[in-house]
Amino acid sequence: MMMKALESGGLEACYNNSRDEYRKRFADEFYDPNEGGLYELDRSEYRKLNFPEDYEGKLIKGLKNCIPLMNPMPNGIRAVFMLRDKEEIRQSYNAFFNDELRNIENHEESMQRIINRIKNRKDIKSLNVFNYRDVVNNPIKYFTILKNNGWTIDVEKCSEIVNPKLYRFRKELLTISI
Amino acid sequence: MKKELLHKRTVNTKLFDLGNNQFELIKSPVPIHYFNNGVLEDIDTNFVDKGTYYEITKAPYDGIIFKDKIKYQFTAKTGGRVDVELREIGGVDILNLNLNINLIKDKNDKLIYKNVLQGLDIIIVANQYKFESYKILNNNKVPVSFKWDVFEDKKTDAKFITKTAGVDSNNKEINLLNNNSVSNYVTKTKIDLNKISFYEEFTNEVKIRNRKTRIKSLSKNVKYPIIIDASVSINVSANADDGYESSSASWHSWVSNIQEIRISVVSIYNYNGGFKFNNVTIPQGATINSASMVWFVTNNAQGQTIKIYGDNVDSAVVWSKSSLPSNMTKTTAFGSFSPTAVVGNTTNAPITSPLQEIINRAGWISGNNVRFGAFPQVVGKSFKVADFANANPQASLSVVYTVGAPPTQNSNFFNFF
Repeated sequence: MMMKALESGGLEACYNNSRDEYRKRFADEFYDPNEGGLYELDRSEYRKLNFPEDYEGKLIKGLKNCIPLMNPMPNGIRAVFMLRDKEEIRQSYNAFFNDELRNIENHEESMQRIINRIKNRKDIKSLNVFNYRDVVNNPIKYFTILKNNGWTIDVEKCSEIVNPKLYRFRKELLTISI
Repeated sequence: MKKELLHKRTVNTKLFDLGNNQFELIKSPVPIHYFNNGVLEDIDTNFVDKGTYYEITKAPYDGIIFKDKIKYQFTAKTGGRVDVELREIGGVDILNLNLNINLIKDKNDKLIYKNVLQGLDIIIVANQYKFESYKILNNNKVPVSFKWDVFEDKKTDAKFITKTAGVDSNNKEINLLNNNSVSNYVTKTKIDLNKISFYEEFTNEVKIRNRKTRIKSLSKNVKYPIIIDASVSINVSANADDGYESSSASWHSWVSNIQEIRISVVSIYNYNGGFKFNNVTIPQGATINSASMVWFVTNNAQGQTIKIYGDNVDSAVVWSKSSLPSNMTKTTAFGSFSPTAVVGNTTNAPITSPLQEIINRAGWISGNNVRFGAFPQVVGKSFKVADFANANPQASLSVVYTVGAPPTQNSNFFNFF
């Protein structure tokens, strides 16, 4: 959602459509696990020694395992970090892959470690940590925060992309630990 | 006359002399022999009645199932023992329950504690490398929680699998709660054990998934009987050698360590099976008279046709995302067949010609590894086979070959002149 919204808001996003083949494999006539697209680079891109230098000035999705591998960027980076409830993540993953997500027990600690890593980078110009649910509920507010932090985006266009109907795995609808 | 060459046995293979320079090699991905005082002997999973207990000794493990209590022992011959004993049913110590403990032999490799409580059966099944323990709840009157004491040697090859699963008669996954506590336990003879208090509870619900939202929920619509399983196993490393490739035009992956191998084409996705056999002892240049892989069928929509190619290299490497059936160097020759075997039966996948091409390679050495890719030809016809470790009857590679010049039909006649 965030990638698609920021792209719609005027940023040049880089991603590889081959990753969406992966997504489509798990879709059927009733359910698409991620209708907006995965917006991920090819996995090999994340492992390049100069990553993410090829994407200077562009918008990319940083997967959690790639963040420790990211080179410092001389002109700095801006980051928006999306959090989500771990039970929602676990069940959404299970619905996507029909498989159990491992190591979810320590999700909060794991996310905090990554946030700390980003904060401690000398090239970080701004970091915003948002909760997925909050952004869905009030997109204008959160895209305005980003704009005020230096993101060159059109808040209205970003917000139009957010579709609450695609927030399907809401904790209040789930049977916990199933 | 067919005669096994005992000195050619390995843990996973048998070699038979068929006469006239013909041999038959049987290669299994999981053990078919065990070491008895340094000699490889046939595994026999027939439970032997010893009066107060049943036992298995002709296997890579020794197993004992007690008749007077719900308890079994599993001892790996390579070291390590696991004792499993039922302690509570429905939160009540079994000493305070009037249990009916009646252990009967249902099949050679299957024992049943029949009707332990009204409608509860506990079943022990032995295979080449593990015990599987099932509980069958035949009705909703059976208490639905069980507590077991498990004593397990540390750092050994015998392991109790502490996660259980189960299904109801509609094949819906049942909702089970597992809760284990592990403590250190030292025997009088100073052996360090893990004492696992293993708790499992069926909540009288099955898990269902809404097809449109894919959100899972619990349903009370349970169809009895239900089956809950657990197992004790020695370590085997068979699973990595078989699996399937899942691929589309731009995306490929290797899926292994699963129970079923898919060989089908669905929409734009291909599922190509991959099967690897290590240390195949066939001399270079031998004539392959017949060869097949024996598969155990778990799903067959009928109408699928499968082509099987060999990996045309001197010795095959392990399957991986970068070494898949679709990108291996295929043999020119292939085997082709349309499996008709129904679920629960075996089928023979023909590989005579592709195996011959590999054995004919100048660089082939007896003992090298071979692997085969199975490629579905018909869209939409599902076909699945059990992976090696879960096939019962046993999955295997079966090869009849001749070494040296093929014998002439009347060669015996000329011997008299």
